Amino acid sequence: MSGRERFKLDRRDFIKTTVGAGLAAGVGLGVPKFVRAQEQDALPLNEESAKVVPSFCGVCSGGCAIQAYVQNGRVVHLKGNPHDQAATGRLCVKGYNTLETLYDPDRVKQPMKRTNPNKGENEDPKFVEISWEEAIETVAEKFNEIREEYGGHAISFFHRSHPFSERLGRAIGTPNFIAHQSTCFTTQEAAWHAMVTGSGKPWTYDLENTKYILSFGCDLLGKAKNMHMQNVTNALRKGAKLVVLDPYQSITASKAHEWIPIKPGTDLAFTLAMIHVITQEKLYDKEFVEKYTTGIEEVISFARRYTPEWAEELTDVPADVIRRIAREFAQTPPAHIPSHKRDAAGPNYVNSTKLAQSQVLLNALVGTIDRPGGAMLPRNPRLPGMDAIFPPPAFPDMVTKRIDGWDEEPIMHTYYRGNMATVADGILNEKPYPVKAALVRGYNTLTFPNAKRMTEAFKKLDFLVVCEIIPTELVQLADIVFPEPHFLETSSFANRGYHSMYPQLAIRLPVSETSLHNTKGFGSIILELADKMGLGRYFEGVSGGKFDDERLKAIGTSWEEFKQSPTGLWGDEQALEPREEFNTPSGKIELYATVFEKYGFDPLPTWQPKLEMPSEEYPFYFVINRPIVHKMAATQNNRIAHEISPENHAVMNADKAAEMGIKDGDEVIVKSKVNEVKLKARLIQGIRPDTIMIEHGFGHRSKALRLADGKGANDGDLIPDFSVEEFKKLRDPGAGACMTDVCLSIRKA
Amino acid sequence: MSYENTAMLVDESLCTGCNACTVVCKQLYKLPHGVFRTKINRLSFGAYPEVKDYFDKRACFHCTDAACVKACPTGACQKDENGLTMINSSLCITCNWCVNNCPFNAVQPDRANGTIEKCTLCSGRIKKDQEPFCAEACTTRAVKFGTRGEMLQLGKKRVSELKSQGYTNAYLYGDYELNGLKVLTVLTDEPEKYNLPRNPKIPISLQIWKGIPFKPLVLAAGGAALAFNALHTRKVKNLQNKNKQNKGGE
Repeated sequence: MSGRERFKLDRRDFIKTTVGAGLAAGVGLGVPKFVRAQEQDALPLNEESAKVVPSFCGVCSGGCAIQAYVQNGRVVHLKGNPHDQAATGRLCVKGYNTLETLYDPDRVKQPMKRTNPNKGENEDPKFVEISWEEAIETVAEKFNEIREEYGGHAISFFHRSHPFSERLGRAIGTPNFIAHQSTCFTTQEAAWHAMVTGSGKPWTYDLENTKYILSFGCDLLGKAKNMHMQNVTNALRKGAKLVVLDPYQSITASKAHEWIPIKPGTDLAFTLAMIHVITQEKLYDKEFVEKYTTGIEEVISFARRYTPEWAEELTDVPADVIRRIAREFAQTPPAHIPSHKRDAAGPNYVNSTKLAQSQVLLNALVGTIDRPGGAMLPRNPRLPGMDAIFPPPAFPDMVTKRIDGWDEEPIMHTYYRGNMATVADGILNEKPYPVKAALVRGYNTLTFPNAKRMTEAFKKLDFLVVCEIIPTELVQLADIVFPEPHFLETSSFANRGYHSMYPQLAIRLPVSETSLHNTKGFGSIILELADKMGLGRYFEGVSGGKFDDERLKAIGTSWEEFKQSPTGLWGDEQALEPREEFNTPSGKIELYATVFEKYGFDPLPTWQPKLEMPSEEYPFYFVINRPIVHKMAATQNNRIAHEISPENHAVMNADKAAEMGIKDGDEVIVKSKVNEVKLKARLIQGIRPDTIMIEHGFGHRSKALRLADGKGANDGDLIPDFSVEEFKKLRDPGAGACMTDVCLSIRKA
Repeated sequence: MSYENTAMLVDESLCTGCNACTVVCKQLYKLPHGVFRTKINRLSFGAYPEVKDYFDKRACFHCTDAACVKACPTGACQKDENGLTMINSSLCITCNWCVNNCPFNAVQPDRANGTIEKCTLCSGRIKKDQEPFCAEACTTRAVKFGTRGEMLQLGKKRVSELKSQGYTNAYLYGDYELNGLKVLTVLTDEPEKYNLPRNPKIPISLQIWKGIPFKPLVLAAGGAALAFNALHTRKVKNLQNKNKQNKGGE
């Protein structure tokens, strides 16, 4: 029965309506017209007639496969692809909501050049629209001028790894590629590199089969990664126990069976005491440890000193609780400590790499590395890189010293990374040399530690090029702006980033033949730029399409074949074969990390306190969380995300605030040693009285972001940056940027 | 699946408050700023460090005894033949009486469009044997849809599982309340923690209202309201036209 029939007027209704209308007509007004009189159950989506386009999500690196529903040329709805092992037919809130970013009226729509030579947060750049030709020519000319006068290293690139851009950089002769990972996960990467993989951190968890999930600030539910949310809730459904240590009651903590508000920066002490209990009481998985690990004897004698009583002093958690958790963890197999980016083992504190190290160690002690219920090493198809497909001619010699000192990181320099915590100092002090230009893609000033200082660094450059989809703060500082398409408007393919139990690829096809705006993909921008710079010989025969096609051919398919896939996916489900060998010098999981030892780092996670402790001037610890509907600093201008979560707050303990005379909603000044910000206070009970939490992503100051501008404040303003010399003194093999290793004061504004 | 006999089950123990349901619902039904057919509230109880947070997915429960239906003076808000509470906006005079009388605060005026908004349980989809959008979209599958029998069984199973995991106050809401709600909810704690009345009732004023046969008065009031609405609409239209003309002249 159709909705229309169902709302057919019965006789009584008919009389009522007629009388009503008659009354209205009686006073000479006619029958009223309602603005929105359609039936309430009219279907907004017709699956049978809509066009379905396969894609995968670009909001985070998880890459969930998407089915985009297009009606009358407009994407009306996104669904998770049911055949994708990661998405299983669902997306996360940010994935669904990315449509609002696609259709954001504030998007960057046209190449632009700056006409106001003055740069600053309150300076209108006075952009004028230009053609793509003029935009690319202007950049090529300027880059060539700078290269001639100062050398190729005076040009820097800020973006995630991209094969075309990296080749352009080598052709120009610059080592300065700066990406964000030292503010994100290099601490965990270093520990996994040294102890298990030789090649970074695995992102896949088989938490669905975990019986005991122990989280150190790992907010798997609050970060809302699709696969993590599904994994954890499926585990809860099956009766798993979830225990969360976090100074702030995150969403994961609120769903946990036990929330332990540990003192910030002391998680390492807690894990060391756990190792103590598990080794002294011989509770570890003897079979796994004997067969697949080295160094257990060293660990046993190392951990003897770290009693739960010792840890109680540091962590604020009673010794008997630590002892109980350690026993539960060892005796509820499979048990696992998951860790994803900015949790306690992310680059938050100077001791975070050691925490990551002790977490890997604990997971090895209970045998959940590449075993059911544990962290799974990636099972991705082996795809050739750019140089294998398009062998390059010889590159020019170049300076190897970098502006951010990353070349001096003993282990991490082998990864395409970079240091956002030191680059401002390098640029401002011209150490080791002046940098004159930057090409930035997808990063914003709000993303950097000490964002205000980084803004000064970008202002100091002679020439700034920004590739973006929305008009961020950095766009306002740019000389040339290249507008990029939203990911739904592009073609590509990807691994199952955060949930790859077997090799599977998802394809992305554009949702429409023409883009909404006059945009160009990053790969094409780089190819045209190289050509105009006279560096075309490094890209002989290179195109994005050919690159994709050749990579797919190497695994026995092709772009054309993949495009025809009825599911939008490649790769059949395979049974899991647990790894017998690991990529370390001994071929085993090295509890005693010889790789760290070789570079002069601590092979075992010896206790080390965080850098800055509360003082009279700065009495509060600092923690950062992210609102569940937002992706970092990228979605505050998204219509619906903005509606649900418009601004951030200084979140503090209500009783502590009452002591200080601060009321809910009061404007407060939060200050660290580098800067201060003004925010509204939000008072809750679910946070330690000695801690202030600020949500990340807010404090936009670009007037072109009409919804986000001026809402809340940027947590990044409070985070200290470093000089390369200061940073080296931290002696951290994971080169973590110490994102919350600073203390705060708070007062009424 | 028999349409008459369907129900939704919201398992609050698996809801993370991500608002994926909210977003998808807003996108598809094109709801303006500030208007929701479903939304999740985070509620907090207790004092540090014994704090408990709860997530309350709030939308129309489609009560069997529906206060909004009793309140509606024009018959716009009524039960369809399958037990869903629906508002026919062409009969609605936006008097907001349903809004004021809903025991769950699940009905909301949409001032931008001059209508009343509330969840329809995606009735058009149910009729096509599809799940409501929020059930299909829910990342953690905390929202399920099926026959009432299945949903009751699953809900009771979850409640006993939660009880055995230490959630001693776990509760299945909606089996009996107001003679049965079409949306059942698994709670990890007592209903009050979710801002849900333990014994929801139709306000006494409404019971009296429905008992007295003064329909002619209602119709007169309704007619007057319609007239006012029409007058107002015309005024707005006129103003808009004027503005358009002014702009055209520039």
